[in-house]
Amino acid sequence: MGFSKTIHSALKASLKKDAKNPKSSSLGLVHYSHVPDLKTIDPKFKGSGVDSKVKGRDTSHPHSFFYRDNTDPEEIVVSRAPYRYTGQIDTEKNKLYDLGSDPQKLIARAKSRNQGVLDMDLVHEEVKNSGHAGFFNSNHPNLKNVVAMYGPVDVSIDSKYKKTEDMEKNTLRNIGAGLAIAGALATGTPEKADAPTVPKTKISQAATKTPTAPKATAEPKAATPKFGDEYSTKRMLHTIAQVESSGGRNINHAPVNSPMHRGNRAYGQYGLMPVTIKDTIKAHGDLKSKHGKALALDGQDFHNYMKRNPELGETVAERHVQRLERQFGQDPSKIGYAWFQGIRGTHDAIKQKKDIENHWHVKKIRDAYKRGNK
Amino acid sequence: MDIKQSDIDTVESAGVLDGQDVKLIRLRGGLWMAISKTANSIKEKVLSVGSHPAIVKFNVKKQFPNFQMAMYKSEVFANEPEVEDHSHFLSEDLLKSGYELYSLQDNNSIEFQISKNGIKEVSVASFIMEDSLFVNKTEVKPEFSRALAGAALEKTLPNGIKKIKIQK
Repeated sequence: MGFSKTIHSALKASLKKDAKNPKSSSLGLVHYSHVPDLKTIDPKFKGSGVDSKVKGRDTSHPHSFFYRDNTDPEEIVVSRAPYRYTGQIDTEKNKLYDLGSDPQKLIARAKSRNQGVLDMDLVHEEVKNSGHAGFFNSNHPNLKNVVAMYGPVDVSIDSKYKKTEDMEKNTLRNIGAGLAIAGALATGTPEKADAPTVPKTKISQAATKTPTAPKATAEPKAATPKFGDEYSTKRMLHTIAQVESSGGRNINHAPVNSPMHRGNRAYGQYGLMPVTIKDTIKAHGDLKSKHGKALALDGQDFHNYMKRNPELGETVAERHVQRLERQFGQDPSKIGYAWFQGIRGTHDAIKQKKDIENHWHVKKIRDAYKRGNK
Repeated sequence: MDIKQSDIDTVESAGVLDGQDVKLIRLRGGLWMAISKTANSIKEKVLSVGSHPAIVKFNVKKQFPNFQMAMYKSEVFANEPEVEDHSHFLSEDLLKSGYELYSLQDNNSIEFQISKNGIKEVSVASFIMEDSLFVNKTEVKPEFSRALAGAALEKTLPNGIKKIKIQK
């Protein structure tokens, strides 16, 4: 057959032989959009459609996202897209690279070019230079079925597909949680990549074609402000600063002796741990290009760097709160818990039905929030 | 800060900030400063001081992202070097005392400068050849050695340098 060795078996299953040309292999792709009458899905318009939140992720290697045909799309994407487009690619001519198994060690090579730090731009460069037209991640927990293409793909509209009002309403308020495929594909860990952890609705193939199926059963609960006044990121940040450092007055944080933090101290008025700051820098192209060298710093050097770049602390705190909002909604309790216990710890706590509301840190957050810090 | 005309060695344009000209002044003592009028003041304000015009402009840009540097090169320094701040490697005490550490890279030559309140105290020359950074051996106070080593190491990252060698 001559399939590219890099094509994962999951993809192979969906390859169909072209009857006229048995040597060619075609892969059906599906793209959702709010733009009508598209003939081509072109990566140069990345971030202008359903995935508008991807816009901020600057890359010099733009790529468009597709779902493999006959697989479940994400509800967050479907809910915002009135149009469904289908296309085919010839995987003999357009080889796809599996970032999950990384058979040619391209990720390792990209890392070695950047002092061991993963830079997705370098990974894209390696993937493209090794003759691949796109990529997927067979190791991703939820998005194995996503394929990214560096070049334009010809498509035709699925005329049977129509979006209903239900779908439109559904999850619009959770736009922030949507489509973080780029980072998720890269790392395979949704948490690191801001991938949505919105409960995934099983949408049957029929449902994706007929518009009535995606009911609100899996709709994430609307994040309702609990404390009267309207929620805002600014207010949440102010609340965190009050709890962590009395509004910036006590910023000499004690060392944290957990295995993860290894005696490191939190930084600044928001009490951000170095590992969180570094993760946030890594996850945002603009921060990484400007402050990438902070990733190699530790201890006092790292704190000095933060002090000399005060705008970085503010930006990181804001981006981190926004990330938590995407994960947990505009819920001060959960955000407060996640600020202290991390995203994974909070998801675990929710899963294990822990009493988050009565956690001492959450109580402090809620009290500070109630005091009407604006 | 009141500057008398007799203190000024040279004046040139550094760029524009919010529609106001930013001037780069070299004082007779060797200190460089960027000054500009702010929107609501008649008097010019010092935006940044440093031991090298490129460092001064680097810090104005960092402080005021709207600052647009003059397109033409400095008349004094025909080739404007690339500036990188490595001051985070200095101890807290040195930082509090006004010390800063920058590197100025002009193609393959890199100068590491330690200054105190904008006045140059230490200069270490180095150059890149193939995959090595050759650092000229310079007598420096022990309290600066760690920071200089950190700065040299940090310069290896973007330049693909594998070895640092000290030249006698």
